[in-house]
Amino acid sequence: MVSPRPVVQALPAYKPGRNPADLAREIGVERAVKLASNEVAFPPLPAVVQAVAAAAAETNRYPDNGAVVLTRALAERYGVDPGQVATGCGAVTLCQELAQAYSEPGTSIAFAWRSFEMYPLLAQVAGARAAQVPLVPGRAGGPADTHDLDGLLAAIDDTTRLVFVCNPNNPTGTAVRRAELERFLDAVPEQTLVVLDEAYREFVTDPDVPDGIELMRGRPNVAVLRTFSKAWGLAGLRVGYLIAEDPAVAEAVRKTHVPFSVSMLAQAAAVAALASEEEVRARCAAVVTERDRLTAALRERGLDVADSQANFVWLAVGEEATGLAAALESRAVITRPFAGRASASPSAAPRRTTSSSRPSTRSGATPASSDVIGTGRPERPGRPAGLMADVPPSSMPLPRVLSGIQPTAGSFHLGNYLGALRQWVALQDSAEAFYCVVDLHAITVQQDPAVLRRNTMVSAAQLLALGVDPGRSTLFVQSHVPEHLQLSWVLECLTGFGEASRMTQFKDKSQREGTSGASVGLFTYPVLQAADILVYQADQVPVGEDQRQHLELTRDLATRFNSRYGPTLTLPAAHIPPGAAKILDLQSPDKKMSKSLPPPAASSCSTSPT
Amino acid sequence: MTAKKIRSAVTDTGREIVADAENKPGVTNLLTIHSALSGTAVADLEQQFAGRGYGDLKKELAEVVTDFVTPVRARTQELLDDPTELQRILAGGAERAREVAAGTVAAVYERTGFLPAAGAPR
Repeated sequence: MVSPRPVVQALPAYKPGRNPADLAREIGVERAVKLASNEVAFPPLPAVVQAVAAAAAETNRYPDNGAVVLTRALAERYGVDPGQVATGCGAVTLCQELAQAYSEPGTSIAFAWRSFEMYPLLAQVAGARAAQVPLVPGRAGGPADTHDLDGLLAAIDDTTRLVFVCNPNNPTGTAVRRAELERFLDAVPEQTLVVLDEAYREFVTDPDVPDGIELMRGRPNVAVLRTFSKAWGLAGLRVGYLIAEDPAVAEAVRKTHVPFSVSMLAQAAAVAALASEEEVRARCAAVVTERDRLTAALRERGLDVADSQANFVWLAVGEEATGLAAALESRAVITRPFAGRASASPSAAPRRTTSSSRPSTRSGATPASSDVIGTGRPERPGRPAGLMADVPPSSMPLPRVLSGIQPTAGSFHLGNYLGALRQWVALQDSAEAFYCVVDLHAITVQQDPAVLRRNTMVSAAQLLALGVDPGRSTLFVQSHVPEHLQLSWVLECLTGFGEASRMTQFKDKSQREGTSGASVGLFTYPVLQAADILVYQADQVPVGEDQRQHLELTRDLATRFNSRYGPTLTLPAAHIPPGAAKILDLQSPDKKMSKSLPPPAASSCSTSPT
Repeated sequence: MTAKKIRSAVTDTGREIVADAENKPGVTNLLTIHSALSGTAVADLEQQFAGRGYGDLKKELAEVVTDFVTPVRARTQELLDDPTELQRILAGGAERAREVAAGTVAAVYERTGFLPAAGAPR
């Protein structure tokens, strides 16, 4: 039988995080919130989406293995030479490549614990000893669970090739300050490479938390890791980068690099993201505001929360972490618990540590528990267990949703409720919802003024009666917001005549009755519909199959405007509601139930996406 | 949709009350409506109506529909009886909508190259 290496056999099996869709289904809610991966909740930057779409057309080719354009852009951005830069498929791959380049059996990798979960595994796979130094435990009112840099220094011996300092630290969010880090860097022996892992640098607000790239200058044994996965919003594309003072470090990483592992789409996205830095900064500022608000709110409730310099917070709840996470999951919130004993001494480290210490146990160098290196100070109660949660999107901009309904019918059919309107009600909690009665669309066919006014009131009243809550969503009448028309004109000037002619409703009617029977309004209403959506920068639009063509036009127009004038309009995505009931006509169940019987001539043709 | 319409709904041949969109679209439709309004899973409804006829399903669904529709109708009427309040709600919505929409239009106008009106708030 073929066996993997013993160290690989000893690796814990990968446990994927809880999938929010699965959880939502399990507990029967519309949507679960995932706060476990320190992602940003904003949709990708518009420029990124465009760059990826453009790059997609060339994916029959290999990506640029040297990521030349991206490397140059990074070098320029940070004022270094391109030779000092290496890119990777996420910062974690660069960690792995560093371990491959610098570690081997007989050497050690030093890092704090708890810190980024991959460090012990990297050491294990490289066959190196993991020298783990417990965090300084928190104390009430003071910094919580921070790096013990003196301890880390003491853990370095002449076998230590690599030291990781995760700053701000994952998962505690705490950061080390300039003076102590400078002192540490000055004291580390020159044959040991210090890697400042700054995946969350963009969220740092304390001016006393140093920029690793500044500290790196003049120190050839220092390298900095950064990522596009967090602040820059490219978690799904995986791009990280290393900047080293000594180009030989970047060169060593490039040598161990798996060819073509930074995809063409990822490279294009990263370049586009770098060019949108202003927008990224604004987003980070929004996250920081919410982080501080969340921290204060949690503390008001008597919870022990570390001061975070990242986009997540750490609740030092000790052994209650697992139970708390389960309780939160039952309320549709996914966080990441770190199990362990509440007041563990450094030698009684959490389970994860044990696995990483196996190699050295096997070599007989030290017993497993002493791999967690003490500092010579009296052992203090550590607090390695806790719970990490992203700054939740519930307090950040929720996806914005726009939907409209015609006032043409005197009353909504139950089919409307069971189809679209029930989703309107449900979406109020998981989205920033804008709902309108689209009276402008209603006049594409002739309306009796008094009836139109009356129907508009009835429609609004029915929406409210069905559960649309003005406290949780924005309900309005389309003609009350003249901006729809202002935007519509600009978009009309970007719409091709042929493009508009191809829209199904106009095509059908003009083919049936000739163009003389159709109004210009019927011709251009899909553009007004695009304006309805784009004027709110909606992220999602609930659509049925028959409205896909309209959403496509909306996206095309937004893309056209953005490429002509610069990123301005958000490209909306289709929101396909989970488990939407498809209700058929009672008399002829092979047809979709119509809203009103008989339908007014063109009511179905000017329905805004609902 | 009223109770009367439910009772006159077209069903399918056969007697069994099971969801089968292909062969029994009528009954499937009634089960879907029932499930959506009552919150009872379709599978549970099938069990509940095992051995019973279409008439029983229609009768119960008519009640479910009436239970749902009656308060909605009453609330709608209540809102329509106070048009000032209803218009106040809509005015509040329009105000919030305009805050967002005006920002987009300002950016679009600026990018398009329209000259800002002198003295206009930016």
